[in-house]
Amino acid sequence: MKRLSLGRKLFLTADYLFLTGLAILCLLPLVNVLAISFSSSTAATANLVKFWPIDFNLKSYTYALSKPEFADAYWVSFKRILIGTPVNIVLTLLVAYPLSKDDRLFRWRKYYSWAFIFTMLFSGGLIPWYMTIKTLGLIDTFWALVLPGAVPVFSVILLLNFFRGIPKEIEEAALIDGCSHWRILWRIFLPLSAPAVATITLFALVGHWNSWFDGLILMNKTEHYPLQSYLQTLVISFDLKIMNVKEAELLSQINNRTLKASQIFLAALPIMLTYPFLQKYFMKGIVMGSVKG
Amino acid sequence: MKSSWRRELPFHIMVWPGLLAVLIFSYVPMAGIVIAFEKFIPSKGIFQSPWIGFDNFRFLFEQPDFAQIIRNTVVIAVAKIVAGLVASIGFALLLNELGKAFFKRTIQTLVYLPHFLSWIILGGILIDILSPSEGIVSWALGLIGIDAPFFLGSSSWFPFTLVVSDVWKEFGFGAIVYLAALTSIDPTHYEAAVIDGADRWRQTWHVTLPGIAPIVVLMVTLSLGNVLNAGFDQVFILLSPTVMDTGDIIDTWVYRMGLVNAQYGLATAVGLFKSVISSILIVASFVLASKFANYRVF
Amino acid sequence: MTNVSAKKKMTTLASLAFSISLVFVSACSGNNGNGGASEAGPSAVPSASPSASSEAVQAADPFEKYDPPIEVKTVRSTSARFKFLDGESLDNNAWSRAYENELGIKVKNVWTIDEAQYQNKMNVTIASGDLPDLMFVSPTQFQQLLESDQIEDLSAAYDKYASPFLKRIMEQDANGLMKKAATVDGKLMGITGFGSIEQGTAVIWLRTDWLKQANLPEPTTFGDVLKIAEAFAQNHPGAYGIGLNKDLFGGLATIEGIANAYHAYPKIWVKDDSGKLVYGSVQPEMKQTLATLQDMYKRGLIDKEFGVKDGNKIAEDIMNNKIGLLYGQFWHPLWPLQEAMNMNAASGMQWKPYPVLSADDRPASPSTTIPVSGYYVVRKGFEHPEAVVKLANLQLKNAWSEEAQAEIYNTDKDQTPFYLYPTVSMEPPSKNLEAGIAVTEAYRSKDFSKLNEEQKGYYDNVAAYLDNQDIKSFGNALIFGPGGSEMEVLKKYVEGNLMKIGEFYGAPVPTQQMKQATLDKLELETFTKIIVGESSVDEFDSFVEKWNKLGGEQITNEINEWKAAH
Repeated sequence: MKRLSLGRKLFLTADYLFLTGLAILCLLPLVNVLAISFSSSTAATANLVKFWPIDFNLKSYTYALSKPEFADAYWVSFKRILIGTPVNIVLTLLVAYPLSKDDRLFRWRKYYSWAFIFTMLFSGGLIPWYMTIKTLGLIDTFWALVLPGAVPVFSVILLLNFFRGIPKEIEEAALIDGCSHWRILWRIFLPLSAPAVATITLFALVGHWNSWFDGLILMNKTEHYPLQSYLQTLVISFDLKIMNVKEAELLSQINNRTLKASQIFLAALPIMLTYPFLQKYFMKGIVMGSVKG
Repeated sequence: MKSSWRRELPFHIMVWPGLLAVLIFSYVPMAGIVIAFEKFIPSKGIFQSPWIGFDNFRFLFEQPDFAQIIRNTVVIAVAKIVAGLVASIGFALLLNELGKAFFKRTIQTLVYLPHFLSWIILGGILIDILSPSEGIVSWALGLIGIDAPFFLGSSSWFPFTLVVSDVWKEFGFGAIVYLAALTSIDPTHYEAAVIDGADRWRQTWHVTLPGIAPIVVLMVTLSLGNVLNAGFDQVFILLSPTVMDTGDIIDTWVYRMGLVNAQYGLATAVGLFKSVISSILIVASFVLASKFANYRVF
Repeated sequence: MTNVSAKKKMTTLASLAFSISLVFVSACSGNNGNGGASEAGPSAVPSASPSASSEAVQAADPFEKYDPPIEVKTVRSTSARFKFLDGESLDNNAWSRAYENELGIKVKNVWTIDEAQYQNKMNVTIASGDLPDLMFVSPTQFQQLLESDQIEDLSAAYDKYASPFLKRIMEQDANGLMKKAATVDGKLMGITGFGSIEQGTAVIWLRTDWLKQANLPEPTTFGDVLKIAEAFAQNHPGAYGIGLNKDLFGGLATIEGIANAYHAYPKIWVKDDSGKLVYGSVQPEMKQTLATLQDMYKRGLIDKEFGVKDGNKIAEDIMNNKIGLLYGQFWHPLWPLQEAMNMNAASGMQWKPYPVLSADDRPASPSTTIPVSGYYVVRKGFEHPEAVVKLANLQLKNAWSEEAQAEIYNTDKDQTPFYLYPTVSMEPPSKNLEAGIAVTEAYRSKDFSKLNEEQKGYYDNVAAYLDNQDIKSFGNALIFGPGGSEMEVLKKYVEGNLMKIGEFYGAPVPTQQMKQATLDKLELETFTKIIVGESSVDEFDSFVEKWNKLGGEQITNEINEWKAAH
């Protein structure tokens, strides 16, 4: 099967070229943003920066990094990832496993299933959500960042579909061998669904890392902000309609563009880099043969 | 039948922690949906604000541009869903054909990066490159003799621009699910196909596509939940007076209402309206998939 | 394509967040509906002498210290502008110490939040019944809290404790509008947060180097402005005759000043000949304005792509020598003109402000609004309502009175913004105008001994720019110095009593809450279509009809009812 037809060769070449072009297209805006972050505020406001910094300087980075709040916020986000992601994954696994079973094996399955789906569709809005969290005494605590979104229903559905793709014989064999469902989940299903689990892990990571609104509303003190919430506050949002002199002065001092640009990088860099690490799970196929045998 | 309860108990126990979380953080706040039927005044609270029944909804439906807003929302949202699916799946398939792992990983990482750029940044970039007089896109089109339209300033082109730029931003991230699905396909199926003499095209048709079909159907079903979410962040940044008639969506409308007055009642009513429509569509899709493809989406 | 439910929630929450956040900001800009007759023009530069208090109430010491000290719980909106000295914070700084040491008040900030989310957080706080003792609320929230009887009547506290300075600001400056705005049924229910009336007016900014190049005299009529626009467009290929942003109104490169040239007053509520308040955008003079704009667009004086350009893009164009003429506000020398000068001063860029000019022989009246940004209120049942009055007294004394120590309480050499810290923050409405006059006088006489710390800072900028061509000082120099916007434009407006002040400053009336957004969209769309030539100017007439039918007429009635009661 080594000899490739001419048609196949042409196709592959075209494929490589096309995808390379696509990747470059995706990379360009990022290069632009990176260049802006290292440029002078004047050049950035005049929109002269394309792919290379003008008047290279590190001012926007030093400004962002010099504040102790930045380190605080980074740490909060780091903790959030460390605790929130496993919480999400464990809960997702726990819920997806039973829901992936046949209705005959688990008779209440579909009621549970719809109970979870329903929460994806309906919501009471900001005020009831806030008040619930407040009633639980979670306002301004770290757990407010982890618990409310503890069960990512979308990931649950995704995972349960992958679980269904695992041949039933494997499970049956394990049950006959006397394995409990817990063991089956952790010892068999988990490794066999590596790509799916990697996917939901990535979603959980990105979700926790990027979320900013809950941090802003649920925390009372700025020291408790996670990273993106904190970075939101760095960019002065202003209404150009009525300014006073002091505000106008600051507009030029803390230029929005270079700061916004460096903000993107400081915040997104860690998460952009995690994907390559997770990718090895996407490369492995499921080795079924040995199991079948 | 006692043994079936014992057999099922582990399943129940596994579900309960997640169920508890969802009960507390999703169901309890759901009681607040009553706000949709109230003239909500923060100082009166959720259960003491005056009840106005369906007035919020009536107000929404009686807007002179209601039909326009709904139409815009649906057109843009559906186009994004369809184009997004095609792009993500297509990309995943194309990438899957390639052999060099390093290349694949690099491409994958690069194309998922735009997902992390906010529209605040991208909006500015788009306005620049799409400018008819100075934008690089117009210049490129000019090279091949096409007179570039005013992508962001013309009503007829605005939705197209929204969809294309959004697909560009999200296809890489959206492809992750399909890439996972592709790696989960049992390799023995391919081996069997090869033995049967199938070339790569037939393999794709008989193994790959059916292999990811369940996930595709799943994603389509769940996407139906977004049929009224045309993408506030993007539209808000790019919207301008000249393209209001095709670009104004439900969420930008709600936003402008909120500029005059904190309209929680109205916003909740709109949210409820969207939820109801989404639910109907998802249930319909679920039932269809179940009946005709014998496939339980969830 | 991540979590659908998260996305959904984000859309709802985020759109709510956005919608609410800008209520606060737009309230800052003095509210949507405004009506006005120029009879209520603000007093000319107010003197510093306090008026005699009129009541025979036994006044107490405005700075009476609480012993034992009391605690006042409040909440704050913050932003990136907040900077502190080493070791200090919002809870520990010169102001917090002053409150404790001089007044015996310990201020506790229960929560602080970025200003963009302040409104949301305030609303959830109110909804959960958790009112702080003292808070700053928007006009709408003020209305709601009034109706649900949750705020305290401050009349007695004010009469007894208000310092002469506070009384002067509330009752004399800006024609006593501050006290009036916070008084409901004869009772003072809050301390008003107020900006400056004259600062909301349009100012023409013109590149004098281009003007010289075109060999044209300084403009004295709107006709001159048009000639200048033509010359600029012709002499500078790639540049536009005049700048215009996509929102048509609001700050940088707007049409308000052009409307004023034709005696149209869009976006505000003004008295017509019968004394009734009417909405400026639907008056016949607006049609003439739009006709002119349409013509200007057709002749290529306006950027063909203005419809997609916001303030940032306009700033870019200014910096890249594409705009040399625009209608803006008094503060633009600081942004974006400062940046533009940074880039282009070496090649001769120069700017000068001009007042709005008329298209006929009647002088033009620049339109502006009553800048009520909100109210400091005290929750009902708080044992010490007079605390808010004392906090205001102290702030005024330490920051603005003759006893002020500006370098501790206002700002220091490093521009540390102490003036942002006070819990209750008042500012004499015309302090910038006073500064402009004082600084210019000092520069002329070279005697800066009478200037306060802040003014001295501006004086230094003026000297640096005018004497030493220090470009970095351009900003403040072109506001406060001779030839700056305060002296050349705002002073003329105030002293000549030229301003047309929108008269409506209350919370949106009921029909406005329902219909304003739709009416605004209709207005913006119609106007834009006329300007770019997609609609004929006669579209304006059907627009007015539609506007009235869709709720405009109802709103007009309600606004006039409000006027009768205020």
